[in-house]
Amino acid sequence: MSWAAHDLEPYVIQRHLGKRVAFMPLLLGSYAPDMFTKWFVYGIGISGWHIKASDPARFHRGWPGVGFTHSLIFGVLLSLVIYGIWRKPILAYSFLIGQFAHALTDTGDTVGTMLFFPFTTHLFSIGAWAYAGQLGRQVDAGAYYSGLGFVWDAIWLAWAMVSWRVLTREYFRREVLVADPFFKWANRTISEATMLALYRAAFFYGATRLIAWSIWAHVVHSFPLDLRWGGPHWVHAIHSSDLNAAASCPCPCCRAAKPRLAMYGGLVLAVRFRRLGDRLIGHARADDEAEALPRPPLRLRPRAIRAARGGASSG
Amino acid sequence: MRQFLLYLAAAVVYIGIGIYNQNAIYSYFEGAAFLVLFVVGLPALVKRLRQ
Ligand SMILES: [Zn+2]
Repeated sequence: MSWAAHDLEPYVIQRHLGKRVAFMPLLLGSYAPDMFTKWFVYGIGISGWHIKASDPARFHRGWPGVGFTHSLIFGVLLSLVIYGIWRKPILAYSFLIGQFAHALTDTGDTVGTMLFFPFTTHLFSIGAWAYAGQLGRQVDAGAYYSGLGFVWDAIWLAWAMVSWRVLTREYFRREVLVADPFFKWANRTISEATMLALYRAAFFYGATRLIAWSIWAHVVHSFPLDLRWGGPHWVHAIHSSDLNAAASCPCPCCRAAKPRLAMYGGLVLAVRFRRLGDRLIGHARADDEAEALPRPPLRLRPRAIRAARGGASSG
Repeated sequence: MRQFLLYLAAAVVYIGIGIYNQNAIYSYFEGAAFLVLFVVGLPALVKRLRQ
């Protein structure tokens, strides 16, 4: 899972899309996949009882479980519901952008997300940092901020800080307030200072929790830093392969994963070899032609010559 | 500038609280509530006490 990235991504998106996006639904979309489920992954104690998912990683990201919250179709369906209720396209697609950002960002850990649920329950994972949600919030945080997750969050913090102009009052008035129906509505009841604080709150929260957890993990405690791919390796991470269950999973992705990969690999190699062959032949021809013709003032590469000829003959 | 320093002070305090008690940095909602109280509520309270 990602931590501060989900808080900070909306500001970078805001910077690039300006008035074309509404900030609050964008932020809500960015939080939506984990909003109601994370507590059950980490577990909570209520008056002596400890409530926690029996298989936290599968519950969080897989099926059966609530892993569908991290699928692209979940974003589409919720966006349609939002559109159905408020009839404002900007609310719907801003939410969708945020939800997609979350679902794609979470493919960075070793469990990944079921992006194409319900067509397949396959978990798509890049596996850059360890998924350790099953060990509770504190160990998860310690692990996340000891591996590449720390770098990932730091990149987003840096990117959001480079976009600092989106946090100014002028920008808020000019781009956010006019575009976001939520703030337009809130503008009638709450002060501008409060709206600004609410608008800046996710940045504030993302930046401060990144710093607080990092200090907690490396100064208060001494979780070893391990920036290797898939790390930190001192923590027991869950992997997509543990949940994808390649042998028994009936989804087309898993069932045909190996033969299909081999086929694609073969295809890529074949195309590469053909291109190489073409290029060699092209070189030989170009050299022949270059000898036969008077030397052109600008020597074109064989592919460019062929493209130019093709263009001339077809046009 | 005054605004920026107020936010900066809020950040320093919130980081301190977060290190001490991780439940205080549980979600966006705790962060947002704290920030609004610190940068809007606190100055309003000070202003009222001064009058
Ligand atoms: Zn997530």
